[in-house]
Amino acid sequence: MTKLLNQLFYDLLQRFRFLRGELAGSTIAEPDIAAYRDRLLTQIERSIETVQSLIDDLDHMQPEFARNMYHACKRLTEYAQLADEGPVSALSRFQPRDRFLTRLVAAMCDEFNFPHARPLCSAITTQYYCILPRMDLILVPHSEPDHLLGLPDIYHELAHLLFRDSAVLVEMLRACSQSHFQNEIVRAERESWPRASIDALHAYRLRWFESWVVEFGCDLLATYVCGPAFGWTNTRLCARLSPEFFETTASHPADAARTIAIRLMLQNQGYLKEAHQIDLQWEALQQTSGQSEPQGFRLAFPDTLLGRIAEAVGEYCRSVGISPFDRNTMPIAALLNESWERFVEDPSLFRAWEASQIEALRELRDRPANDSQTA
Amino acid sequence: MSDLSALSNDYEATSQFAETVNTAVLSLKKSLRGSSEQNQTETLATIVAAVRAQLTSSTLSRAIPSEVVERLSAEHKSDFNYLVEDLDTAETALSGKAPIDDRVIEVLDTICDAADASASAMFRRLRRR
Repeated sequence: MTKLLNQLFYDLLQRFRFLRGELAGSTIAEPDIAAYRDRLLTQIERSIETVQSLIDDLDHMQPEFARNMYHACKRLTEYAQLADEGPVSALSRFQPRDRFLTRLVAAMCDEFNFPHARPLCSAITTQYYCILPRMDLILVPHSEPDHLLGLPDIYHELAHLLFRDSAVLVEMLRACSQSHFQNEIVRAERESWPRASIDALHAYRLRWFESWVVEFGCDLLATYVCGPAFGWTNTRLCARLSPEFFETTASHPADAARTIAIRLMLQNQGYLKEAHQIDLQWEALQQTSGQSEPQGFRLAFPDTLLGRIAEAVGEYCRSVGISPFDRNTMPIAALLNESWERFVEDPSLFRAWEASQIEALRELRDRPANDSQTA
Repeated sequence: MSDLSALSNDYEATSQFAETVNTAVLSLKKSLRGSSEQNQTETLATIVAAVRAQLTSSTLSRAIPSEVVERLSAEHKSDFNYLVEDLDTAETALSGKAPIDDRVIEVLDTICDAADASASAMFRRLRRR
């Protein structure tokens, strides 16, 4: 038993030492990116110390400790693999386009007073936009730093960091959804609804509680700080990748419901014309794809509840000083909105304009973010 | 928007829980063997109470990651009442109202195993979707 654990720990120790060497040997000199690397390096150093102390513990190990030691080894191994596949890999291949993206995201964060350290960003994923919250790392597809229409999705990924940090926000949204479904279940039972409908309410209540509130919350926060551009990007994403607009999964609510929530947030913010335009686009998309709202959809996603969570996210943002989209004070969010306006008006002329704007934005590469705010 | 973000969040919560409970149980085992480990019985009492509450109540909570609770529930379908009883006993002991015996350690190991298996399963899903 001790022999096995000894092997596992030494294997892990060598892996962490290699990662430390990779980071320590990196030639990144820019203070904002180097600050991120140094923070990761500190975490790796701590992991090395932990593994070393676990190896020392093996000298006094009792049989009943073995499984706990093994579990400790597994968590550390997972961390090493996450660091290896995520930030270490990103930093060891860090390109000017990654630096541009990292600084662009830092500037976006500054615009709306994002209350979290600025993450590292890299254009190396084979997935769509995603975030590794534990690593403060946002990944986007390779071509995204050269295009503007998808960038509003970065606000959604940033919101995941906020949800991880703020139990208050999650609990606010959970309270809204739980109160709604509890009342509905009581009403359904009083009115003798069919058992299947009551069971469906219970299932929706659980899904909202477990994961849907976070996805809705991230969309709503993104809309709050980015404005109509996020609504357009959401419609584009659904058109390109959604298998079924009304389908739900354990982790994600229906795309159609998310689109309604985004519209409600835009309306709350006074973007009535834009919300209507996006709605027309959404209707055209539904017609083109031949999809229509199934029976029971509103049972899972009633407008009243979607409206309530949209208000709750707005209230939360105001309470912590997160700024709503403002064309006059948020140049990057304004640019993303202008991009969509131009694209919708004439897609054929858009690319030339977009390329020139990207070029201008690239000047950010030479402007480091505030060191103290970089993760 | 990606499933990876949602799954990463869930993995992080489950992994942290697994680490917390495992570290606390290892400390307890060491202190029972006479080592001067920091006493984490209070933390463990809170965890055991939360596990029991989530297993037996219809009130939704995320104090314990739901995957862990679901796994415990599925693995103890046939002896569910005994598990709840053991959790009660463990909570009493960890609160200092009774001695911590092998039965308490056994139920704590059960929670550790479920937390470890849940974290491992989610980590695997992160890369084999």
